[in-house]
Amino acid sequence: MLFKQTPRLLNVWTSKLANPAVSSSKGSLSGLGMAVKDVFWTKELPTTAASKMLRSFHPEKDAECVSLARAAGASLLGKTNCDEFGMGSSNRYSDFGPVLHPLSNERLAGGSSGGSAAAVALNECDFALSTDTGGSTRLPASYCGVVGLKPSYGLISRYGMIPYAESLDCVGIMAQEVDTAAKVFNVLSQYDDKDPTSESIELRKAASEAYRRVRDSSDCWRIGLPEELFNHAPSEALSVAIDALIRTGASNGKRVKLYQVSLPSARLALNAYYVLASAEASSSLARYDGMQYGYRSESGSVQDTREEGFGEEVKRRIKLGNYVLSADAFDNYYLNAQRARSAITRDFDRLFRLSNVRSETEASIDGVDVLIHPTAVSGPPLVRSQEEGDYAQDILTTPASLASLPALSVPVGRDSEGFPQGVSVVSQWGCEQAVFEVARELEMLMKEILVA
Amino acid sequence: MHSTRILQNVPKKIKNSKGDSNAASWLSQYRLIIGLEIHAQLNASIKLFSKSKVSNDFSKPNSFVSAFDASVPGTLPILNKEPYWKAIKAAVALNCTVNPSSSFDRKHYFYYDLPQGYQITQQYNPLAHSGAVPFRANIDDTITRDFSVNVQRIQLEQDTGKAYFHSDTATPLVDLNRCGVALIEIVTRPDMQTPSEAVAFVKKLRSILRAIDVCNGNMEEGNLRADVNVNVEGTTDNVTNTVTRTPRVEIKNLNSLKSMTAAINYEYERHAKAIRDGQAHVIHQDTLGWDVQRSQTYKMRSKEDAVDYRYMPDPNLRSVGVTEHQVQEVRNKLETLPDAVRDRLMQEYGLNARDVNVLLMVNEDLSSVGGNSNSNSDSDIVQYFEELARLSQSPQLAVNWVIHELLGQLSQRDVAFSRHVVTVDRMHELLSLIQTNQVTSTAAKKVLGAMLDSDASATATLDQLDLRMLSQDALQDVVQQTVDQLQDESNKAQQGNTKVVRKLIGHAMKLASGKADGSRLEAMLKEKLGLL
Repeated sequence: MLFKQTPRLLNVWTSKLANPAVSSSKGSLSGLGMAVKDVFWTKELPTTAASKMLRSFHPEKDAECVSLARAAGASLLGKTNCDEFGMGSSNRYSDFGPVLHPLSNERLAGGSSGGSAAAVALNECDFALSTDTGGSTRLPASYCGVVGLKPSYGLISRYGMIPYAESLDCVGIMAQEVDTAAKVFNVLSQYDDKDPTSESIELRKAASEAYRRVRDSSDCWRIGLPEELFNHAPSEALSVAIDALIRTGASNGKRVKLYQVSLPSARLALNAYYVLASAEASSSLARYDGMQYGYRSESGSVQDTREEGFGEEVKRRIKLGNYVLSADAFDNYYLNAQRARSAITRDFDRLFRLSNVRSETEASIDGVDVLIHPTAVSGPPLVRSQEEGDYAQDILTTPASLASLPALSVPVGRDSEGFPQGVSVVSQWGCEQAVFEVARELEMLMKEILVA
Repeated sequence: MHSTRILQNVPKKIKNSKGDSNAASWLSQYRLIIGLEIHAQLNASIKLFSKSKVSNDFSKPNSFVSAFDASVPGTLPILNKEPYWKAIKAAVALNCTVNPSSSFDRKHYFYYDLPQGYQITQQYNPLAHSGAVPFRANIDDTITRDFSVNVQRIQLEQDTGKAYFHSDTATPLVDLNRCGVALIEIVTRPDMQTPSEAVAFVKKLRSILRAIDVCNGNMEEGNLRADVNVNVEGTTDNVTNTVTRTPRVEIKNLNSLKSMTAAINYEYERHAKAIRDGQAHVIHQDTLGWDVQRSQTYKMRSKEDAVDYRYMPDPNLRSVGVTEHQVQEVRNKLETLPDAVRDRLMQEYGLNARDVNVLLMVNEDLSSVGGNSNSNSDSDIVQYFEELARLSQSPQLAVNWVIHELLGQLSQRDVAFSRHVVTVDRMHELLSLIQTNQVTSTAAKKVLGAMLDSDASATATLDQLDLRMLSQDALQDVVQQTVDQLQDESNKAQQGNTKVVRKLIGHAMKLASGKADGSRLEAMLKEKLGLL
């Protein structure tokens, strides 16, 4: 356990089951308690997206990921707090109030899946389902010292997940150990014909086979450190871990080679992300008009309903999204952001020796297996801070989001102020196993360092 | 219901030529330019992206609504094959190039009947483009030139729900049964020059979509809706030959061909007057509506306050690919289109355009009422005619009896045509009796009437009604009786009084009680009187 239970109210849960049903399934998640971010449908508990707009929204079914986890033996404990509709990097903007950091009253858990991260960190659950659109799983995982996986886009069904930006939204997984996250991932990563962006069984197979071929034919791990994502000096803990990895090699006997690589388009990522995510948010949130469900203003007007039902940050992004989609701005903003997104994907493809089975690009023979970079540029966000600064927190996490790649944040020691910090392991599309293997090595090394 | 439609539609002729021919002569020097945007609701059994079935107009409100249709967050669109392939079929039938890959976009606006806050449509990469629908001069009275209407694009999209406003409630009532039903929008080039041509295009489009079982095509029920783009061009200075063209206006949601014609004519005159009076600047690029009561257009919005729809590629939906091979397969399986039927009827059977038009129109009405043209060969009147024409060896006799006598008597009885009302064999037997002079045309109509009420053969009915044409001997008896009964008149006739001959013939016809051919009886009477 990372933290002692404190009586202090962190505002982790939005609702909790008094008597969680114990699953009779003997599946691989049997006996595990699950926290679910309050953007996934659950039969027993409301699904609010931490918004006034959906305070009384009671779906009839479980989201596909919730249903798969339960079928594999996990039991639902409750719903966790988050930024409204997943929009935020600090978990500052929730209709239920912010989620505080488990270590400090002055800090926030990070967002948008702050409740899920805190629930895992406090050992109030065995794993948590979260979402990650531009870093919403990895950032709070880093701040709270837990493992956070953003899988490849299209592997875990989004059916039953309240959308924020649908071309980027991914179901995330949080746990205290890489193995638990991997176990949950293996259960949830299923083709679903209810999700039009769910990737086919063939494509999944092609990606994992491509990875296996490379792994079996090579006697070394090739790890890239993208210089654009290292503009903040890596923490001492990360340096120690990486040094150890190079010195001793991997636990499976493979040598580890480190390369400094370049991802030139990464500097475009943050801007492109906010343009695209806001555009899609303005669209996917257009449905909240108070007509069919959700909050309706006293006057009944759509305008009042949206004015009163949405929080300030959501309204800010909707406005930004509406602007970038307007006829005059579309080419300059939206199309340019799409171009940047393609460039970022191409940049990543050039770095890996694993081929991208979605774009069918050739793998580069002297490429790397995974990339490693710090997850966050700073420690957990301050409760009192310049809100505008929040956007910059996503600067290191958005490239993998835009490129639809798997990325996992694993804790690597503490920063100078004593807060946990994470390092992200990123690999080619569909190569989650590569991510898990490298993350496990880092996890083991960190344990050894701690013991030493 | 079936027959009322037939009663309405057979005699009905859209009075569109009136608008054209009555137009003041000054108007004719201004060129009218018309383009159309047609929304055709596909008659697929399932909505475009949800698992909801498609309701009919009489379904209970909100009884065909899935969570996706109501835009419940967390639901996702899954493209259904049935409406998709119906749209491809329409594209092929309209001679379009089908895009190897098309994609879906969101068109955003807020309205009560649009729960998602956007419509999924195809703005950037539509299903098909560059089609053409050809017209030949004189297919009916209203078309006076050979021309083609080019189809710019066909896009597949979602229909909206319906919002009803009642005077006693502030908020509208919303019915989502129609929400998410598949539509195709067919956008034409401005290739039509008269309201009649626009009407002809809509009718032809409708007959094609009905023939291939893609759209029921009933404008009144809203499953075919037309927006019209109109502007006018005219020479304003005959010396310098300066040509002025008014800005294009769009007239929205015309739900009948009559309204369409009236609205186009109204705008034609308004634009032409403006050019004539040097006031072309008063015409703006506006979106207009049509006020049926007052027979005039009204402004809905101007270009300046046009809605910015904030089009965006739908992040949930991938491009849909179709191979040339698949398109070819659709083409191979396509039903015979109305133009091909028209050609066959005119060339193989030598029918005139008018008779062919009646056959095609009735056929289309019947198949659209039935809903599915394939399963309705019972009501296929063209097929019925062709079988009858082949059996009787006389297409003209066959078409006359099918169109005028059979349909005429059926509509008097308020009964819809089906091949079961009088089988081809029974009808053929009746025509044979006429052809072999065993019954007069007049008597044959009575026989047909009786046949509609029974299953008896034509011959049996003929004998039962005692309407068989009289034999030579019987006719001689009739002539003899006439001369005997009207001795005075006979004598006068023999002396050269021609007037009295008519009376004698009338008397003879009465005695023959419809069972004699008038001219034959006249000849025999005259012979008897020694007048030949």
